[in-house]
Amino acid sequence: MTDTTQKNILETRDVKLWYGQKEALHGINLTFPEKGITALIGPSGSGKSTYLRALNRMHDLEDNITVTGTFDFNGTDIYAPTTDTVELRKRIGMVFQQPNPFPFSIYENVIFGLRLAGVKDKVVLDEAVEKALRQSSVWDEVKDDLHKSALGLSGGQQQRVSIARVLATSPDLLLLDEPTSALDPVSSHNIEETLMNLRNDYAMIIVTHSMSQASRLSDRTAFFLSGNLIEVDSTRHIFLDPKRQETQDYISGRFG
Amino acid sequence: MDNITQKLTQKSESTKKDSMGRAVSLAALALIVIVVVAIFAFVISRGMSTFFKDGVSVSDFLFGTNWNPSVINPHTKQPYIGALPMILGSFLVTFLAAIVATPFAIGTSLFMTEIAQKRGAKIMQPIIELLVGIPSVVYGFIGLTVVVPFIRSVFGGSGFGILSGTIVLFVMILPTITSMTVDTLKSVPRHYRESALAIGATRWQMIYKVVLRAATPGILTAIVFGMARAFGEALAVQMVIGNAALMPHNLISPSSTLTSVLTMGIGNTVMGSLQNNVLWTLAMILLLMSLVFNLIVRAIGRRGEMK
Repeated sequence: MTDTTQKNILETRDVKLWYGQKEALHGINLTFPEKGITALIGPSGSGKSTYLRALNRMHDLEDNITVTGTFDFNGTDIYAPTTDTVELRKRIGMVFQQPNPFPFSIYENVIFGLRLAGVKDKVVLDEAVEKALRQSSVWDEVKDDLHKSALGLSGGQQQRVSIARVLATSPDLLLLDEPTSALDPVSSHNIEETLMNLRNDYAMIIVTHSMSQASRLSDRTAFFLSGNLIEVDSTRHIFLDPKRQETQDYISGRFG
Repeated sequence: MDNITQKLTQKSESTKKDSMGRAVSLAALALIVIVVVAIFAFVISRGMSTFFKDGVSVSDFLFGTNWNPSVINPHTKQPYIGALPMILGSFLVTFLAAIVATPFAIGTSLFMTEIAQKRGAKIMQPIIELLVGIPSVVYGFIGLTVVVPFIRSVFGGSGFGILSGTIVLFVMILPTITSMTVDTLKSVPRHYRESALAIGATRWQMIYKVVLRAATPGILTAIVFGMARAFGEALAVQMVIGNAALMPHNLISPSSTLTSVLTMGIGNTVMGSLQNNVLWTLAMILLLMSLVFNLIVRAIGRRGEMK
């Protein structure tokens, strides 16, 4: 999949981020096409998760974090004072490292976003639940237990319910922060299959520690190191023919 | 070699200390168990003697509305020992105080944990700890000099009654409920909050639909603890409730609670007499109620775990 014909959904320029006085991101320029998966790889502390969380303004929750730079999301500036974070986060969904369904039933979890938006029609909600759970390929496993607590599911199922919960609000862009690192290999595999099935319909950005996951899943890969973006290219190029020595060293396992 | 065998088969110094510590903590535990069992045995045996020794019927005691143990009813040849006014008074002040205190407690704890964490920790935490530590006689005195005259001038009457008791108890149990609710809210995992926001919840929706919902068992526990405290509080209530063993006709008529009758009467009766025994029966009801509150807390905890 090449991105020359595609329109970009998100363009970020010169993204800098400070924890108090300490600069953690040193000017990141990255653009993301409308469809397909971009993987952010790099060693721990390289800033890839920090960058990801800046994209839906999750850092707003902390007091001492400052973010600067241009974030152009479909023509709107993410950090403009007039941008409504609530509306923004409906457009940019996020899946976290820990599977984190709410302590409600599976059904209530999936429709949570729709309920917030004020949808009350039972038929609409039922359809949305089935669609989202099918998209996240967990429907067949949970369709008979929709009204049981989501906390009774396995970790992998919980994570796919969490993905369904995000998909139900039909976002334009999906951020995934190490979605499989807390799961066993079989569950990880299921999540990867799920993401593969979604790649033609959604733009996704996935932070991952697993280079094999990045190479299996993503269309493009960006390599972060110490708060800098070292290199971004098609996944094929990054893994077979990286231009930078640091990238070469990292993917061949010399550090990180 | 012999040396090693000897060392291994003998008790070492640290092993001896270990069993010492075990014995000491076991002894402490045993003492507490004995004390608790003794209290229960004593109160129950005294309380029961009203029914067995003095031949008072249980239903007369629980549902009778006339309390005057030193006067004999000429028709039944029994003293007036109807405890319903006090039982009702205790439950009324307890529930009313809990109903009034709960919204304030939840509001305060939400402010401290969700809205202004830093200021909450710096200013509110010490204030609440201070409120917990104020002796109940101080609360009662303030109730007597501020609340009672206020009620008198607003609603008329003497000012003593259930309403004044409720107001004083409300202030007393507010810090208990608040600090326990704060702990519960703090223990709601951060990822619930993050994922609620990440899905497009406003802060209020996050608090209302996720945080409070996840914290419900803990908040209920906090309320029950507050009620247990209100039910058992004696001094402050006694100072403002009016201490008339009458059925509470309205919220501003003088009435009494189990605890206030106990503190008023226990020094003025002779041990072993009926007048004394019925007070022990009131104490027994208090004890059983605190047991009930405890069971409720446990039941809530178990239901919370299962979720």
